[in-house]
Amino acid sequence: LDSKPGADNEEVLSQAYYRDRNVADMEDGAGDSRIRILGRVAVHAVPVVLLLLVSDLILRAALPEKTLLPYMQVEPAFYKMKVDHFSSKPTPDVLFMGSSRIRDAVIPGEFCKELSAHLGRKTSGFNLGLVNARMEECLAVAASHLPDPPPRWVVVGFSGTEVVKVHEFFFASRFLWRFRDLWSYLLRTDFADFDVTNIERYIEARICGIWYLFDNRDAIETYITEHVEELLGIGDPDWAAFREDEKRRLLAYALAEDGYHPPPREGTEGFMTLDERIAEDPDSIHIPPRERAKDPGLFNDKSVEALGRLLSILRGKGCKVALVETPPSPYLQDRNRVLHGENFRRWMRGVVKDLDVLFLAFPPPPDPSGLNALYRDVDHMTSRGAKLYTHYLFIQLRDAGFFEEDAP
Amino acid sequence: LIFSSFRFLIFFPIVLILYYASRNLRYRQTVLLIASYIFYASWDPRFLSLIFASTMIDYYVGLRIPGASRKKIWLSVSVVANLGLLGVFKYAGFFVESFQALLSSMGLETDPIMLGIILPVGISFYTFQTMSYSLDIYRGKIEPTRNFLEYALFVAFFPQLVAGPIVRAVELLPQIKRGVANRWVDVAEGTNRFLLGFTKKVLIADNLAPFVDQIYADPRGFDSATCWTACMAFAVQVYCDFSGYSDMAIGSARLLGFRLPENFRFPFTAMNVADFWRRWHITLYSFMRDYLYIALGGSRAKTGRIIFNVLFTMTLVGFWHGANWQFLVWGFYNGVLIISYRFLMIPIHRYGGLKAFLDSWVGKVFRVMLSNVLFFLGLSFFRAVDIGAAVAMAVRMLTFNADGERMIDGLVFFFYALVLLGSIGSEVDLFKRMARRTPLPLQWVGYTLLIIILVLFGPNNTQAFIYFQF
Repeated sequence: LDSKPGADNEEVLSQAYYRDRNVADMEDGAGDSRIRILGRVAVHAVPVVLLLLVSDLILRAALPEKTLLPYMQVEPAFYKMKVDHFSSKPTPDVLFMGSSRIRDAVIPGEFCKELSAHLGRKTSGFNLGLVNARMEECLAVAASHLPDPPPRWVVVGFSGTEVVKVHEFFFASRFLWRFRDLWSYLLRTDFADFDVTNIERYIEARICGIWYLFDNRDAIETYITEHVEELLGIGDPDWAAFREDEKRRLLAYALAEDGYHPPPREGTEGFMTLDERIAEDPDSIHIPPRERAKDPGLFNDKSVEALGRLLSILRGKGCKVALVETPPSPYLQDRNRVLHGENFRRWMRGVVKDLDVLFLAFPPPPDPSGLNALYRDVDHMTSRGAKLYTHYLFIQLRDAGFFEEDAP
Repeated sequence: LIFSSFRFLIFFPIVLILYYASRNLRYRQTVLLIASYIFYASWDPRFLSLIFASTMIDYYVGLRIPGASRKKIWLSVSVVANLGLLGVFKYAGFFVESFQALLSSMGLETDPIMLGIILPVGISFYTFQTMSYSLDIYRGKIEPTRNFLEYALFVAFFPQLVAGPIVRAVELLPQIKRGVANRWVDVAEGTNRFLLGFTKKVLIADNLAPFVDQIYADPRGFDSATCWTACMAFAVQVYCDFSGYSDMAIGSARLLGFRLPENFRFPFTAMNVADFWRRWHITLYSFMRDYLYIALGGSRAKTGRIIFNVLFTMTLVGFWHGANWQFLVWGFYNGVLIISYRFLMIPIHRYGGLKAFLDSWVGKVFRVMLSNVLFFLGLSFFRAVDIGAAVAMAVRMLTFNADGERMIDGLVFFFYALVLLGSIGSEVDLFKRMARRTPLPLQWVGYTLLIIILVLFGPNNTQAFIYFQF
């Protein structure tokens, strides 16, 4: 019954296919010269490259990045679109830098209202909080993405998470690095901390710079899939409604005039603040893995060096810099007393003595439990929390003399 | 340095440029050996010592066997050393845990011993390769090589180093020794083969992975139809993953002018389980068949012994894949199927009507479907996280239970049909004939479209090849 029996058909385990010939004996005639091979490679490769180039140009025109923004994942939406959006605007007077914690904590419009009143002239601000940004992302923004002239005042907001493990980062090398940032990384990174993945990400980013399809592959795929599903009427209506909400949010987040947009779904039915969630189901509170590290050795000389480098870049450009604590929820501060809370503040107070820079801490009041109502999860504030934080941030900066012309 | 990774797409062109920079044989061998060691060290530099040890042992054993009065002793050194390496790094944990479980079942509690040994990538492949070298010298099939560089390159040749095909010395060493000419046909066919493998891996296998992972994580929560779909999905995934890897290995070797043996021949078109195994992981199956099954006496023995030989060989084929009970059961299951098929054929041959039906067009389709379904069923053991989950999966599949969530992904059937039609088309040489007739401009458009599709619809994060774990 075997249609094509192998050799040794008498055997129950008969011989497999292809084993009756030795690949070492298979020759395809005489060799070709290298020039001839290269020529034939060119005949095939050059037209394909040209066709890719043409298709890329068509794609750029048909689907510009602003059209693709709602279909992007969060990280490219922030690191490409928000940073580009910031660079395309007139230089703000005050720039707020940091991670998504500061993104959701500072309302530049509110801040500048108070600052304008204080200075007696109109001022502007921009919140460049970037999701998952750490020290390396801040360094790359400061070195390669500030407008010229740079903002007069730069406020860097963070807590312990952003300054520990400075060699562990992801988005700087993929989205923000220019060649000088790569070079600086190569010069200053110890062999033990060196990660070749960053070089790969940098090369990938350079390829992305010239190959639009490759750069926006995920967004284009989502765009095509969603449009095909819509055309064929096969999509899930609930998912489609969720996506519509997401698209609006992504647009608002990335292209907000001053970089701030109220957090997602706040004010909608079913939205709960952190304290409400703690009361209802404490087990549902998610603590991200990066917030679980509790080794006191995490704060080390490398963190100090990174902060010093950031200060030196910003000051070198003529910016006045303040480092401010952007605290996570009291719930998280209580659960990780190494990365956050008093341990972090103590370490920072020591650091700023060496760095000669203004540092503002935000210790919680004696009974901080009520403050959880100002957060939507363990890390991020609600818009009410942002309003309060923005106000107190301004008061503290003003009282510290940060906006006086002769302040350090 | 996974073939489908961005890193390999940078590494390989550099190797190609350096390799083609000179025709000097020693230069080329040196470039390839250094590249191969870099390739291997990219997983963990510590593993280099293992591959080097395996290389040294068989190089020395190979030199000693021909002139030795007791050749078997030298052969034993090679077999013990290579199987010893495998035993320690791959199977020690399994045996210790199984022994402790046995003691525990007898009421003897022991402190758990955690060996914590990391499985070096590719060890199952290169130990078999070096062992086959000594075995072939012992059998007088090949002469030992005196050039260490050539031998080291045979063992470490990076296109097939970590996941095969398992190449025998008689296939690769002559090509390394004499050197290979630069040929346009190698570059063209190598590129096509690499692209084919890349497409199978990135477009099909990686896109099926999330569905498969979700169902196999807890099959008890899903109904029978979903479990069957997951098994079909995993069959297509593992085929496209592993045959895709083999295609990339064969393609990248061909780009360097070398030919590697084929590892698959459209297994989903097999008409019975025995035929299936002649088409699936060919180099492992034929290694086990030639060096173990035939050595045990093959089918030239009494019925009981034949059954033992087949079951033992196929169980070890399963166990080669990994140190756990699922693979043992999977190998044994395939052995039982092959034996059953053989003995089922005897009465079928006697009834002409049934034979005529099975030889008809409808009968052939039925046989193909049956061999596929039996293979899918076995995969419940291959993929399951533990023996309990494997049994749960198999029970779910066989009881046609409607309880549990139904999650059917249409993409699975699309990819299965694609693989099946592609296999049938390849069996009748359809695609090669089409390619020969396609005008050049249309080929350019085809390549451009393929690149665009791969960029767009390949998953964002390249998944490691399934066979790396073996």
